[in-house]
Amino acid sequence: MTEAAIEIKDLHFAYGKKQVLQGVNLEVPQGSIFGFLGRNGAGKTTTIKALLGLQRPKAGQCTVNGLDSFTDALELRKRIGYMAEDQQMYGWMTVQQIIRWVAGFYPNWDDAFTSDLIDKLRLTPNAKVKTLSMGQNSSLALLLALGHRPNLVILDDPTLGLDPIARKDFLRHVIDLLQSNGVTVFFSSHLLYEIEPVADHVAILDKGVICKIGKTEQLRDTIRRFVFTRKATADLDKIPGLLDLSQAGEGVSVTVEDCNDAKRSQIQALSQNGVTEDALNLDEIFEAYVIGQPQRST
Amino acid sequence: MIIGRVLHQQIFQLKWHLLACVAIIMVLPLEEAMVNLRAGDGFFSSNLTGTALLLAPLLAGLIACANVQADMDEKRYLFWRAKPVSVAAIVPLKYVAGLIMALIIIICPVLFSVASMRLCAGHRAEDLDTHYLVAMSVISGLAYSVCFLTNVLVRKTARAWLIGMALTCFLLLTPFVLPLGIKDIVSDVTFLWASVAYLSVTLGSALLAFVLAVLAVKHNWQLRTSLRGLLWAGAGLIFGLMLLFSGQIANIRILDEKEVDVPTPDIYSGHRLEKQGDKTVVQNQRGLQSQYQIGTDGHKISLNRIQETPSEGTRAQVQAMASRFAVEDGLISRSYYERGVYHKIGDEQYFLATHPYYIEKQVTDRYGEPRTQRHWKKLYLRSFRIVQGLRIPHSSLDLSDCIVEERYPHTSLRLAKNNLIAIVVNRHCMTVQMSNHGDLKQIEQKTMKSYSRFLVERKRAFKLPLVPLESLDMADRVKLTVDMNYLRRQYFHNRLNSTLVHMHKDQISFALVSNRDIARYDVINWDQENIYCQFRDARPFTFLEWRLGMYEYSRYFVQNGNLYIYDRQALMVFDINAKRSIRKLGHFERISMRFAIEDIKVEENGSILILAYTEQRRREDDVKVEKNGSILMPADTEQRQSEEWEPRWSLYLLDTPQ
Repeated sequence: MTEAAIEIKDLHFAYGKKQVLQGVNLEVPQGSIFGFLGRNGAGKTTTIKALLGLQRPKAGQCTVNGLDSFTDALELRKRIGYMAEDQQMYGWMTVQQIIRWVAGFYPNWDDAFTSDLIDKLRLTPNAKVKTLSMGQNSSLALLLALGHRPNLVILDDPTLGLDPIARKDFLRHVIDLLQSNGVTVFFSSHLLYEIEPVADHVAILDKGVICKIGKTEQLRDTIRRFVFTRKATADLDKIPGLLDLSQAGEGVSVTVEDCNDAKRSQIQALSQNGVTEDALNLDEIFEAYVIGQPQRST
Repeated sequence: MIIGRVLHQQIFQLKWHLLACVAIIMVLPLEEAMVNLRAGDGFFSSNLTGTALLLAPLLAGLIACANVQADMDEKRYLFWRAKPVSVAAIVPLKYVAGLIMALIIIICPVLFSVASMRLCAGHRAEDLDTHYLVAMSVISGLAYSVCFLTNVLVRKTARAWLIGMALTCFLLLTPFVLPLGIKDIVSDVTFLWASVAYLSVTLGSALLAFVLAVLAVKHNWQLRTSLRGLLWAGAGLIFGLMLLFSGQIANIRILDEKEVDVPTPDIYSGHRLEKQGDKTVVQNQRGLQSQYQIGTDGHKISLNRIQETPSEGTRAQVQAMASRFAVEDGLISRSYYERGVYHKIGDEQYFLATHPYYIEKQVTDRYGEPRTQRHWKKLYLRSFRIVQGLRIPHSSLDLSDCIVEERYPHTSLRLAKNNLIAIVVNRHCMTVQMSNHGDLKQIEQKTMKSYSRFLVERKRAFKLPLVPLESLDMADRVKLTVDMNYLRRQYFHNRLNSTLVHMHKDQISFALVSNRDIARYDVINWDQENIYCQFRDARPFTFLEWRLGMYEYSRYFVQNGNLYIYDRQALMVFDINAKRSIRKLGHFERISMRFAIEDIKVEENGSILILAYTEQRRREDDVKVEKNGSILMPADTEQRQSEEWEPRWSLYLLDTPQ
């Protein structure tokens, strides 16, 4: 069995009295592009900081490529690339200078690959970092995260603040540079439409716990919305795997996870006539998990 | 990690800050050099280099903030911390790089001074003290380290700098005002060992700040600040310092204070508190006393008018008895009433004083200038009977055989047991018996061995020649021996009314005050020739005590196991009877140039009565106003100034220091 790229077990973290992570469990397969979804403040960045060994959790364990995040933090950081949201760098340096400075920390820095990246990402080596646009800044941050050819890249909301064109451009680079090389990508974001096309696995983090984890396709296949007119005697609360429920008079819309034929028959029985079944996109699935209200009253 | 690249980044990051700081610190030396050049002396700087170095700690703090600020911005912190770099390696490297730059800022004006003096003034820079340079470097190091730490914690440059500088000031000043129970390492910074200790503590604080900074970076400690919080913290620091400061110098409670009307022939005549039996009065140098008797019962000063108005009969008696003290014509009297002593026998109050007489001769000094020289011809010990406040001449004893014509007769009197009076005149000492009727009779007279021994190596046991007056009991002799040596050096040098010696059970000890400390000695043994003394311990003056004017020429005496030291504006009380070490009991201070302690008396209950000279601005109704409304002031400025301030004498009653 292949060892997981990232393994998080029962991770707990608190800022003072505020519990941020309340038992996060996660496994990221090698070579996957893993979408780590959550609303702002859900605990995504905190989880990533724990992964990098920058924050000691109250309890739990994080391993990256078999290395413990805290005891082997330096060794681990040599092997992974990290790009933070709205990455700030030293504005007074030129692109070339900051690349040289960062390269000094990595024994396995690949200068040829870096030169190649400079061209691919259309960066000007002599430009001062403070003069770069947001898109160029993200490109430079990506370059600095990849220059040592890591086998795992952690991207924490990397497209935050980018315009749609720059965002697409950035994602295209990520796919081009990483997916083809078999690098594992741990991609945290709250912009689901940018993860959906690239992520093959997703996890949804809400209020410090993982509420859903699985392959993207599998989620799309098993989470369904049913629209129907309810019978007067129908007890909607008994629908198994109910994620969201909304009613308007006799009209009902329910979102159900792990959908199969048995559940379909059960829902059919609650309907006066026919049932309409819709597939959901990732955005709607996320919404159902995070803000869905199974006990919503009429 | 490649060290060179990190250093390069640091230098690159700080280059403009460094240049700006060097420019700031070089302003004064360059200004001086320009002035010297224009004056034709050459382009060199000497005097203002030291002044410029005062800026060094401020600039070092700036460098520290600039050094670390960029790295501690939250997002940039995450950027470099996510790299495989150890905090324990990179933070010290950054720290050292910045520290070197802070030192460059100090070195620039020094180098400029040395080089310009050599090249343009032809000699080495003399004014820059090496100790000062070291001290400024260490203080700059502290400012740098503390600002480094505060910036790591606060992460806002301006606030971090302000907090850092405030903390640096606090750290630098705190040792000077530490509570007295704590060992004072800055008791006297003019001494090398104290300077080294102080600078070591300063360096230690800098190192501690650095270690804390490393930990703060590692654990991403942050201090959230608000302007209001900062103001409160700043006010708290200042308040803390002031509390410590005032705790050191104003801890004897003033129970009462009152102005006292004393005869003042001129403001320069000294006054003292005189105990006459059960009466305390204020007496001036000419022997005039106030018309008030001072009481201190119930924590209040009471001034009771002495109702004795001399009758005509008493005045006539004074005139009549004056013939008793008549001397041959041509002799000039120099009475020292202020050095006299009062002694009560039965119901009669007597006053004893020495009266030397001299003639004046015109001589030519070694420079060929004519001058008047006194030739001392006679010396008498005289007793007066006090009746209705007047001194009626009573008895006289000729001591003229003790004087040397051309030498001023140093005399001291001390009352001993059994109506004996010990008298010291130059190298002679004697005891005089006072009869029940106030008559004086010499008992013995001896020549003393050498006195005024200065201690070179105080920790070695030493001996003092015992005063050879066998008619005195041994305790009095030992006491007199010590006081003869050390008390006479004080301001009122000819008085032996007070003592430095404390006798408790079988133990005899005495205290000496020097510029740096109070030393306690024990009299360990004595024989008919000498007393043998041994240093026990010393209590250094704190920096504040030292700055506020305590030094060896302050007046001091021992009473009831306490040492009382006083100077113009300060009084300190120390317990020299304490077994473990000398303990400070209290401190009274008036920080005013218009205040001077003239004399103190310690009451039976331990409370202290102070007689102080003060000046008060003349009241408005004292200023003459002419009819046209203009204020009439003396034309002469000096006269006007002296008239605006009126001399007053005040009494202060202080609580018993504990």
